[in-house]
Amino acid sequence: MIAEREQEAGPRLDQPLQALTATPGVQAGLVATDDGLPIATRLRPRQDADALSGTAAAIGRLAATAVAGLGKGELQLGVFDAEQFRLIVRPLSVGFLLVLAEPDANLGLIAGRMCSAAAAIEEIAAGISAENAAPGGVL
Amino acid sequence: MANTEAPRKAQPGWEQYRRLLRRDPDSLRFAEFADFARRQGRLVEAATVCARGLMRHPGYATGRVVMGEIFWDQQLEDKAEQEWLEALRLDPGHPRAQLRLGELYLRRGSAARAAEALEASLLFQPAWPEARALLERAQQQLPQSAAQARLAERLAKPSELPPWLAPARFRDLLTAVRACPSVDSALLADADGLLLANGSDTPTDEAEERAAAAVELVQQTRRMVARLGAGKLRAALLRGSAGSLRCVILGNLTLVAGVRPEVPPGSANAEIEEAITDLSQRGERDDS
Repeated sequence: MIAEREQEAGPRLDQPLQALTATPGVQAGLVATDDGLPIATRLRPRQDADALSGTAAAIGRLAATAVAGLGKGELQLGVFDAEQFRLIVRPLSVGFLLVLAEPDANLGLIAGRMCSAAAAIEEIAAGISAENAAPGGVL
Repeated sequence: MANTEAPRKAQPGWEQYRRLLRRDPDSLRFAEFADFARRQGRLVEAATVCARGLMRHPGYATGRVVMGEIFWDQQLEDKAEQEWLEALRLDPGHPRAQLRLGELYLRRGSAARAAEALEASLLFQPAWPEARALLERAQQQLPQSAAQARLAERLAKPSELPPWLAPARFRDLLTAVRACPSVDSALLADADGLLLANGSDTPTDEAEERAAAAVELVQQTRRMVARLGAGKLRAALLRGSAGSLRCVILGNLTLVAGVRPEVPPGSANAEIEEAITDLSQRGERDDS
């Protein structure tokens, strides 16, 4: 069972995360900033939001550097197969989307759901930016 | 290092190099231009181009190697040695610097030092004919007992390689992976990010940088994954806008395969896994 641990900054991002973490084989999902701060998380009990967010940003940045350095353009998706689980990271305009999945989870299905979740997150983030930029907004 | 090419008129590339450096005086391609001039026997021009480039980029190891080669061709052996040692200080293990130092030590009659440097150069490029030929000469000059001691020392070093993946099979591995229809390049690097074999069309310098970037990713991810309690990292797949990369961890080595942009990453994975499995089974059969 996934326990909801929303961060203050990201309650609106919970819906796409909820759909994503309902995918078979997915253990957890989160959105982190470029510098590793959690924005929104859906984790299992005892999973550390800070550690996973830091990992998402660190791996995401390294993967983006490696992909560009090896002449493969901009990073779209990084999949890291470990003994206990799969880490899947996808860049977003606000940072990174990270999924923790079972080692034998259906990668194609998860990648597809991550694509949909990323699109929804981008839309929400754009809406928040527009609200902040509007008169009376934060910016 | 024999300069076998006689001086001759400018090649078609000469003016292109000049234009390139005029357009971009900060370009690192000064070393390539200087090397080109040196090979043509135009040593004064080569030295001028290289010295100017090194004033702008004093920490560029390959530039130092080329400068050393120019000095060597000018019979300035000590100055050549200084440049190659400086290149190694800037980039420990630089294969061409190791090769040149090996050749220098061989000329000075220090067969053991020469063999050491040449073995180091072959560690990065096992199939380098020039280094192999020089190493053979150095080994012929070594007292048999010393050669045997060196071999025993190397064999005694603990290896984290899979049993079937002996250094002699590095090239076979890259050839097998490169033969996969979906793969357009392959590199093999050690845990320090140093290139062991280059199965791509990119020049060695560039391949070294690529190997280092991939291994940095693998090593850091490996540590983070271990901290999260996920066990050992086995492989990574990176999909970019211009193609994918498959990184396979083989003991303390990392194999990086570039996947053609039009190929779905899944089919590339299957091909690469099959190539590695075939080679490992063949290796185990041969060993037994």
